[in-house]
Amino acid sequence: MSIVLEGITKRIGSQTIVADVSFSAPTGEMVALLGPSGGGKSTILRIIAGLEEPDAGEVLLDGERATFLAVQERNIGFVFQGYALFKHMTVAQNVAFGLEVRKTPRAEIERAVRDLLELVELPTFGGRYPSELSGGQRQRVALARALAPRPKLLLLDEPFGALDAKVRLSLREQLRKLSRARGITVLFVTHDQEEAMDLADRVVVLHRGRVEQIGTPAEIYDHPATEFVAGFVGATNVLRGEVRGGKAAMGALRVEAPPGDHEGRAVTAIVRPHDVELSGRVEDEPSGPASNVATGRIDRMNRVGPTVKLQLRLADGQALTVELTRDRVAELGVSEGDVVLVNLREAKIFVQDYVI
Amino acid sequence: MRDPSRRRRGSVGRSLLIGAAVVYVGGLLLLPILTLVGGAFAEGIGRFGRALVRPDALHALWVTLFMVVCAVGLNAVFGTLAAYVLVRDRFPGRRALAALVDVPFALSPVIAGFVLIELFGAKGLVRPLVDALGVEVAFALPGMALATTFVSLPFVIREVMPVLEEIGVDQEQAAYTLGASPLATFRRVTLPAIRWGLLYGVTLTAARSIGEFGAVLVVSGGVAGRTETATSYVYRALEDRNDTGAYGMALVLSLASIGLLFAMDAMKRRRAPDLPAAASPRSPALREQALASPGGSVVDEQVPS
Repeated sequence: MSIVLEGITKRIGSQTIVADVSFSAPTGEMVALLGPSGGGKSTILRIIAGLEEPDAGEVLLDGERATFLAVQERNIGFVFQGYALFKHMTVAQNVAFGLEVRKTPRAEIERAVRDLLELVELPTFGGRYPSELSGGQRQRVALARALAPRPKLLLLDEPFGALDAKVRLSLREQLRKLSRARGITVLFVTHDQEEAMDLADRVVVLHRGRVEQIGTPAEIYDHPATEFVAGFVGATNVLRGEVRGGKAAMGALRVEAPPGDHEGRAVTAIVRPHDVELSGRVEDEPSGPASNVATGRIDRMNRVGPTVKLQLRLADGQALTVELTRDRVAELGVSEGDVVLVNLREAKIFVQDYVI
Repeated sequence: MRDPSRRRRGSVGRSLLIGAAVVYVGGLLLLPILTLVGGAFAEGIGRFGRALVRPDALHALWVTLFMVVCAVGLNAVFGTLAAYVLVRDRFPGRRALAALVDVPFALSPVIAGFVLIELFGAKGLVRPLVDALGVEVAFALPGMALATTFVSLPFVIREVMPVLEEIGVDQEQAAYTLGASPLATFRRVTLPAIRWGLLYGVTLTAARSIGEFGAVLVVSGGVAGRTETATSYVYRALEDRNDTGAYGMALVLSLASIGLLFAMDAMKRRRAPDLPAAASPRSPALREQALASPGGSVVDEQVPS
């Protein structure tokens, strides 16, 4: 099922929860709604499901206007954040519910329940009650229940939020397989950028109810459209400076400024930790603003798996996190307390609200 | 060193506390009940039985049963409805309405009965309606049923509302997304979820209805053999110095009410927190066994190979 959202706006009291949100997803695509909590993601999902009505805008499902269509008639599957399993029903009864209300023949229901429990790898759990399951198992039951009526669109609200890392990875894999096998469109809400990047074909980044950027995970990561996206997606450093002599200058660090005359205006530089280069130790910290050599003192070094994280304090006082390979650190021969030369391989420069 | 196998004896203060509790509960509750039993059988079991099968006694019991059925039926249906609306919907005056629910607790039943007569009596406000329907309300069974329903109105609402708050709307919305109509959702999701609260409410409603005296007496006028309830029978029997009749009826009523309360207590105990309530007849031991069964560990969270 394809989805189109056109200028969806939702207000609660005087507060605008969702502001003029438009995006579309073709059939079979996996789309992530990514953003910090309270960004209006869940509300958008609930509007698509028909659990809430927008104050303005249209929802099109398969090209048909569905803005005010009843929930029951949208043929969607919804996995709630807290799973919302029916506590007084067994796992099998939960999964069968959507088929029973459709008056599906008994034998067919039994077969479907068996298949679905097989699919979510809980074949022996049909007789259990939700209270007897772990979080990951409940999540899978919720998924099986949502899939039972064969929806053409699956909506998931923070599907893996409360689960530990290992379970999350396994469920992600299951969801990916599932959407491929059944060719259903999947839309999920997450505040976890890594999850969005890993799972989605396309990511819609939302902030304060507005769309910040829509793109493939690679586009979002490599070419963030706004300062917010650059800061939210991936680990980042934020450095402040100003345009001087056509360059963005953050202390002694200099990067090509965006085209146009911005002389004297404030800039923000978004720098990925792996886009920083360190070269050699310097004996003493050069002093004075005249210096054009950028240096930083290593405050702390942490080894994280194959990489080393270095917390640097630049000469002008700004903090900078740098990620290097262990080999590179050994090569440099640096340790905590050393002062090193700093160079930015790449940085995204934002001049006030102006974007390159 | 103190011998750990020897438990410390309760102090004198502790014993006094326990004693006070026993005297308080036992004395104030048990003693009257024992007196009832004693009084009912004072003139032999035969007299007790005969006193109860007298036509006016039997009729009074039937009237009370009728009151209980009416009050329970009306309050179960409309109480659930009111609780649902008060919890799930937002409308002007909702808070005021929720506060109003407790009025029957605060208002003396006698006043309730008096107001009903004023409303349905000869010069009452709704008299035209009564005349149009041709059903007498005041000094008749319908008025008494109304009075009983009035005094027992808060129980179902007060028991069901917190349960509805607690379960939230997620399960209902999940049912909608699965294609269930609002009615099917209420019947298959909401009702089973609130069934315990509803059952408590009904039990309390029934117990209260059995014991109601003031409101019903005022509305009915207490005509023996016609509009006399079991409680007004007790009252009249005492005035008539028919002690065995009074004791006997009082004992029957008390046993019915106490039986209901014990039944409720048993229901509460069966409903262990956060476990599937009595829908499953499985014992806790069986459940644990199921949890420990191979391939069914609660923590099977391995990445599927």
